[in-house]
Amino acid sequence: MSGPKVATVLVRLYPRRWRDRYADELLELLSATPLSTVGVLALLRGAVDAHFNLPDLLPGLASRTLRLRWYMTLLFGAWVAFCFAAAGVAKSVEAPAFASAAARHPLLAVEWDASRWAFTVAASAIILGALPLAAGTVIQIFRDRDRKGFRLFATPVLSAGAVLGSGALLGRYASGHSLDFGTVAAAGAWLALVLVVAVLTVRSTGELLHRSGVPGRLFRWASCTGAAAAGAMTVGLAVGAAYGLSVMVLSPALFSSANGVLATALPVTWGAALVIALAAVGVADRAAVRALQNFTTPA
Amino acid sequence: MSTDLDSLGRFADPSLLILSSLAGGPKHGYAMSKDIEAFAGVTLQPATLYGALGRLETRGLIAALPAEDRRRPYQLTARGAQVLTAQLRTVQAVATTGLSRLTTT
Repeated sequence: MSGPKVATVLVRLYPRRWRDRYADELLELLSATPLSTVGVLALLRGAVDAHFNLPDLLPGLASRTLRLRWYMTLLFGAWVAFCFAAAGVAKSVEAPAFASAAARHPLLAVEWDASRWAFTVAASAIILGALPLAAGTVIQIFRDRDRKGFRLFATPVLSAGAVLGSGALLGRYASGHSLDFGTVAAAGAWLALVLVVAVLTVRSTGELLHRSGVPGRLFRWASCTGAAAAGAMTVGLAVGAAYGLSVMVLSPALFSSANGVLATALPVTWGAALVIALAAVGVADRAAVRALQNFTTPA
Repeated sequence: MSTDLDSLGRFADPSLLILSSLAGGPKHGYAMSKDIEAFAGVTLQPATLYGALGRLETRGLIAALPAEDRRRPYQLTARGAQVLTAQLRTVQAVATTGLSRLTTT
């Protein structure tokens, strides 16, 4: 791939709002200078920076409410990623061997229960903050007969339906078949669908949050519940990592199951879940702190 | 006044260079980059340049002018000039003190 093409791809990693304002200028400058490895790394770092700090570097997002909307979008995206990691771990420990191991070791039972509680608290906090926002937005969409709003709102709802429906079909198919190529391919396709749906959901939710005309106090409420969710996710990550470590030390035999990668606890799958959860918690904590700091900064 | 740039973290130094460049008149990204290279010997990565430009614009220290094709010139605002003056005076005081101490030892 040539330098300008690489630059174009890398600039697409920046948030859309940032690209609308600066991408043309940046690409023009990049086309006039050779793209070095340092330049590529700077662009990657710049894209991450832009996602974290968009309100700081985009004049159009200078108001307090717009900043809050951005941080809420980040937090929601981080929570979705965290759910991915948690679902991966939950799937990998569904074998009965894990339940009996937890029964034999009180430490494992406590850690598993604590991580489930942390996940429940995080999910509840997200729902508590999101419900008033969703209700206010739906009322506004119906009142204004906002077609794009309808489409954006329908995306997460239909996506959730598609994932649950296809997941149920996959479960039914997998239960009647042994672990063959067809099952693994179907599971892989379903995972790809879940990934696409998750990205679409976060994007449409973010856009909906920015279009929504609900009062700023609902966003402030969502910031508080979001901070609670980020705290619970942090606890969940710590307890979940401790659980993984404890299982590896106390019951290493559990890692020898032969039920296939998708239904087996393996250091590599748990490691992947840990990395995703770590990144999600990092983003969520930062977004929550920035949202709360936003209360004390000038509007 | 210098805290305006201090709050920019790793973008503080690039921002000082950008403001100094714009003190000579409005410039777009490429012209700024070449100017900074000429007077400071520093090559700013385009990503770093635009990370700093956004922050300076948000803080009202520079202002965007109408775009010319895909290039958009920026100019120093009155507030930007004040911040730059304060920052350069601090740098000058540090340089003067350091140099005088070097010559007396």
